[in-house]
Amino acid sequence: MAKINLKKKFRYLPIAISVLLVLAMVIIVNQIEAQNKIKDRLGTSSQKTSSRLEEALKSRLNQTPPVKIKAISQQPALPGRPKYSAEKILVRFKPELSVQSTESILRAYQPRDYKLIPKINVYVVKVGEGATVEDTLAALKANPDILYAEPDYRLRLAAQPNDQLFRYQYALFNPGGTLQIPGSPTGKNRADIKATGAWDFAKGDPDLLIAVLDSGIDYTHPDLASKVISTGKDFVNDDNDAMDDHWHGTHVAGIIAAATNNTEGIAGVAWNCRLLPGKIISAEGEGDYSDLIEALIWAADYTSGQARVGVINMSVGGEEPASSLEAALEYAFNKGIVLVAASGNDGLAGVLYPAAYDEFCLAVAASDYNDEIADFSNSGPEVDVAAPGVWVLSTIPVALTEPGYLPYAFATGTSMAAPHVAGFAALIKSGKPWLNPGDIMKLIKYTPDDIEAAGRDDYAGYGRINTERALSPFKIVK
Amino acid sequence: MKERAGKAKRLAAILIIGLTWSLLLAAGPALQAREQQKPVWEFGLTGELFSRGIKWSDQTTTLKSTNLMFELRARNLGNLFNLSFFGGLGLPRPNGVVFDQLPLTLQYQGGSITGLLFGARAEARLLPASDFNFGLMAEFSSYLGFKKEFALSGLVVPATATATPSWSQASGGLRVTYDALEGSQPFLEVAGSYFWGKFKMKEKIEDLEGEQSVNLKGVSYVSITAGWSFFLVDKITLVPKVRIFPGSRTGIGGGLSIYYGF
Repeated sequence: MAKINLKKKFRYLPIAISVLLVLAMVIIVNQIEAQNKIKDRLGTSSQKTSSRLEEALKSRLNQTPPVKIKAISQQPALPGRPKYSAEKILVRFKPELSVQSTESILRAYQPRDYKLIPKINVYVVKVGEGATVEDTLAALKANPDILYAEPDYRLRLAAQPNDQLFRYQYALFNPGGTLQIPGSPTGKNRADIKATGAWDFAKGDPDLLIAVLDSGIDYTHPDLASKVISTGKDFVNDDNDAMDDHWHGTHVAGIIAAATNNTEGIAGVAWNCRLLPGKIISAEGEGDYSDLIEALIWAADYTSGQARVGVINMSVGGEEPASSLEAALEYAFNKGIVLVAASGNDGLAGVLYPAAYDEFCLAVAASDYNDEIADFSNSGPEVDVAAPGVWVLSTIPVALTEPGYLPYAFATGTSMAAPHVAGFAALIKSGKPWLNPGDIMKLIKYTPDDIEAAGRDDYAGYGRINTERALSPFKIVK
Repeated sequence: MKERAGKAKRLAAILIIGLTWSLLLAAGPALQAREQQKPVWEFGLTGELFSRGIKWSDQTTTLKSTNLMFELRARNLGNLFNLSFFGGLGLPRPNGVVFDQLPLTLQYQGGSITGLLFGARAEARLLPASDFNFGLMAEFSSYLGFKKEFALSGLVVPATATATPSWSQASGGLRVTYDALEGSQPFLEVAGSYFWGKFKMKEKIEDLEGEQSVNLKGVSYVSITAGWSFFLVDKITLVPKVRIFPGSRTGIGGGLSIYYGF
């Protein structure tokens, strides 16, 4: 074996090769890191672009602030927002034609530009100067060589529901500026529960039921019919028909889980969860503890196939404590159910029962579009969190809707705040069914945006709920 | 996708085992004819950087690590083996791992976590062929991370997360050296490489607590290492090397070792 003596001639070669190898490695590692950084930056910038787009859309919508619900019914869906591109159309030719033929046909329409999407042989065509999409489409459709020609429809963010009235729901997404609610007040940007961000991570489980113990639910309402699992139970009239003859329960139910992304009406917080009505409030708006107690036990034991109650909303309250009520709450709590109740609308110190049973129940105060606590919202050490409760748009019974109006109305109260929290609890429980109700209550309490005084206070509790913070991955950083 | 990964894994294992077996069969006569050489003891220092694709559940990320190790190496043991033991500090950055079973889902983006890294490596020179020598290598290393606590800022109550990662890596395969150069020796290693680990996260938000361990696995099962041993002056050897993990876009690494013979 002939040994080559490199030692003298190339004595610096080893060091040079070592340095080169190490340099190459450092460069490669740095390039990978740089690529990752660029990817991160692109991700952030696309998020920023999306929010800028949203802002632009919102401000455009705000130029025509409708005050009454009636006005919307006379307008086309999402006014001011074109459904398709004003300059592009999609065209597909019959398969027997060659690319040369198809392109010469296209050129006859004098497009500004066109490109072929291979594999499916669809052309994206930019219409010619002075031509409209509609005219060009009509001309193309008349050509026998064309299989089809269609508009280039607009996309929207996946988690932004397409419900017609969503833009009135500042509680779910508050764009700031002049709000489209009664009085057209100026709202604070993102003084909302951050629902659109949360829906990217959780939309709820259809087998998770939220029992609404209230005046019943109009289960024929177009925005609720698909979401109510049964006609429920009427504890006032003692039958199995919890149809709402007041309005309150239907309004509460819509906030929690109205049919969402169905192009009509409003969006509910718990997008996919379903509702179980328990009627404990009469047509006159009154009820007894006994009905609430019975309804709590009934809801806690309710099952239908795989479906079970995971959350109970009680937008009701009384001034007096009652051991039997506490026992019923404890029963439901021990069955793994998250209990949510309104703090009360007297504007006084003193949270109503059942909300005041701190161990088993989340007490919810009402905040407004500026993240300020509503002056009617009861306060006390039992208040856990706040949620929007001023001019909240939701469903009302069809039978109680004036002719010519849509079955939706704005309402104010801690009764409207509590269902936001109930929907939030349902989203958490859907995604993490192993969490016990105590843990879910803590998660809701410890993740809000602090409003009012710094830290916990008796007016807003720990703050206004932030669904996105609790449901999206929380980043651990240095 | 999983099926294809499984096939690739099986194919790599069959290839490596087959080659190893044929090498052992062919090596017998060559070993008997070999001249006896004295073992050499060396003390070494190694710095390395690597990034390796890892997966858990149905998610993937890249584990980047900087390691600094002391090494004790014996060359020509029994005229056949090189054997080394190493230990030192590892600073992996398991960024991107998501803990979705905790009450509040956490995504780790906290950078490197210092820990102890130790292991052993064996090389066998089996079959000389022309200017080349074919052999086998095996390496095992383990990292035990120190607990690292992070404050979860932005919540309305005090909250912390405590991270404790650990992992192990076992590799085994073929090693080819080119022996025709005076004063240096390039080498190439093709090995099956299995990575497994556990990343434990404890969350405490006021009185809300949760704990989750995520089981990590390597995305690729093969590593290819190219390096060059330079016998600079008597008793000092410099070994730069680069490594790739085929099958993982981000799987790349390299390092530099310096040895002093005594």
